[in-house]
Amino acid sequence: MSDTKFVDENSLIGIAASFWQQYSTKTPQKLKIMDAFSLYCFILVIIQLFYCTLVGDFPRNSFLSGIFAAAGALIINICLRKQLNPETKYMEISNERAFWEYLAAMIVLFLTVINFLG
Amino acid sequence: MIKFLILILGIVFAGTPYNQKKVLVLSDNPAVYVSHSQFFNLLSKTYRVDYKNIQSNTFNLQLFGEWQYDHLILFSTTNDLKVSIQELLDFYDSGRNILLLGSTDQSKYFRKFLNSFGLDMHEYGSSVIDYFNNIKGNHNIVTTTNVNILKVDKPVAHQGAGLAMTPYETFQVYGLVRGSETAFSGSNLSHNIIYVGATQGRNNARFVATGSWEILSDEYLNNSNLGNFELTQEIIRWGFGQSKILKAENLIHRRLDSDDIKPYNYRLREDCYFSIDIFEWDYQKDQWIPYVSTENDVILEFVMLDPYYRVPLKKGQGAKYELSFKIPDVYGVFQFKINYLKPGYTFLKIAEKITVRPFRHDEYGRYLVQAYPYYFSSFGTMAGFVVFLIAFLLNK
Repeated sequence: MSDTKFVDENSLIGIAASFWQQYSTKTPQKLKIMDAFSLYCFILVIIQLFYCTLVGDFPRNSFLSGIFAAAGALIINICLRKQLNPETKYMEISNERAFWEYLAAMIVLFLTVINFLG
Repeated sequence: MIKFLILILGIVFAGTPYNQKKVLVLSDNPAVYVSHSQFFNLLSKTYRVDYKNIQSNTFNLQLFGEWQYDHLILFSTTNDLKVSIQELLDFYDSGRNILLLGSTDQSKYFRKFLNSFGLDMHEYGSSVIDYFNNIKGNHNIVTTTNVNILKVDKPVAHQGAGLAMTPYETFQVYGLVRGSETAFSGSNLSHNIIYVGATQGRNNARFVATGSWEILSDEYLNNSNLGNFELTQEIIRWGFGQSKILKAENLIHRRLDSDDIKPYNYRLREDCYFSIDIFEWDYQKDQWIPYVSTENDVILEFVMLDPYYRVPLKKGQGAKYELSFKIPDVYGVFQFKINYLKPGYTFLKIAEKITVRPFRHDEYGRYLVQAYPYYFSSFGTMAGFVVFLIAFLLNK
């Protein structure tokens, strides 16, 4: 707690700075890598939605697979992150098993996406 | 030898009127056989005619569940028929035709019977009057040229009551011969005066009623200035199902670029070709001839609950009506429907069910320029996933 005492928590920037400070000091390196991937997927979703409103969803199947690839990966990734983080772990399963399940889910998702992409 | 015998027998029986349609004439006034001799002559040329008294018990419309006659002619009287109205209506419902020759003093029985066909007789004792279109100044004998559906060139004379239409004209009930502009009868004015009315049921059975049976009598039929003779011929032809009979056959639908007729299913947005042959019966040549609609009104509907297309078919060669169109961008069970309800003609109702399927997973368009961001996203996610896995697993 001693690290946070000199930021002003009443301003918006202060809150953000406090958050970043806590995040960078407290979060393990592995979870940070996961968060980077989640952010990458999220940005992909946003870009595609923006593009879709501009151009239209004409190849509807391609549009859906594009969106679902990114959004699905994002969701599955968040699920694994919850399992690996001891504070948010919800079912009593080992980290190894969670990781293998994550891998299987991802493979199923990508197979579906490629099939539907056209 | 046996074949020869059968041939001889066939020739003998083909000559006999055994296969002629049977007409039952009901009247309680023997005088009509004299006054309407021309009419009965015309009738017996094509039909086997049975004359019975309305009051007699010597005839059966139905015997052991089979109708004994094909057509029925009723001369209305002041008496009731022994047969119930319901049985007459059953006769009509079985697809057989009825001709009612009315008169203004007919009994309530006939009025009720007429009402069940959407027609109504004018009041008791009334007579149509026309001061402008009449014969020799006698304003009770009126003439008109207002003839629909039937083909009559000369003016038609009428004497006696007229018919009115209870609801307005529909595709099923219409006036074959209507009063001229100047005709009136009591409070009824020309638009509601019908001399010869007709009803065609959804089973294509035909019912014709005249306001008075004098118009088919020899007195008018022998007058060459009048069209009553032609009218009588036309009434018998139309009313007893010889003219204006349509049939549709040879329904074909296929993909525009293939010869595979009636395929198992269509894919959405495919080009489809539809054609059907429509024939009209020609009573003079005794054969089916191609039907030609002048009004471009044979309409094809492509229906799944709602019609997605409602387009007139184009006239092709011979009896063919055809159209090619693009299957809509909706999948499900569709029907090709033709509902041809032209007044005067038999109704055509055709429905053909087909299935429209969505694209198979490998039928979508590929390498489309506008879809590049989506392709990039899909494969980008996968590439990102591989990079992530390496970083994740190597990190201790």
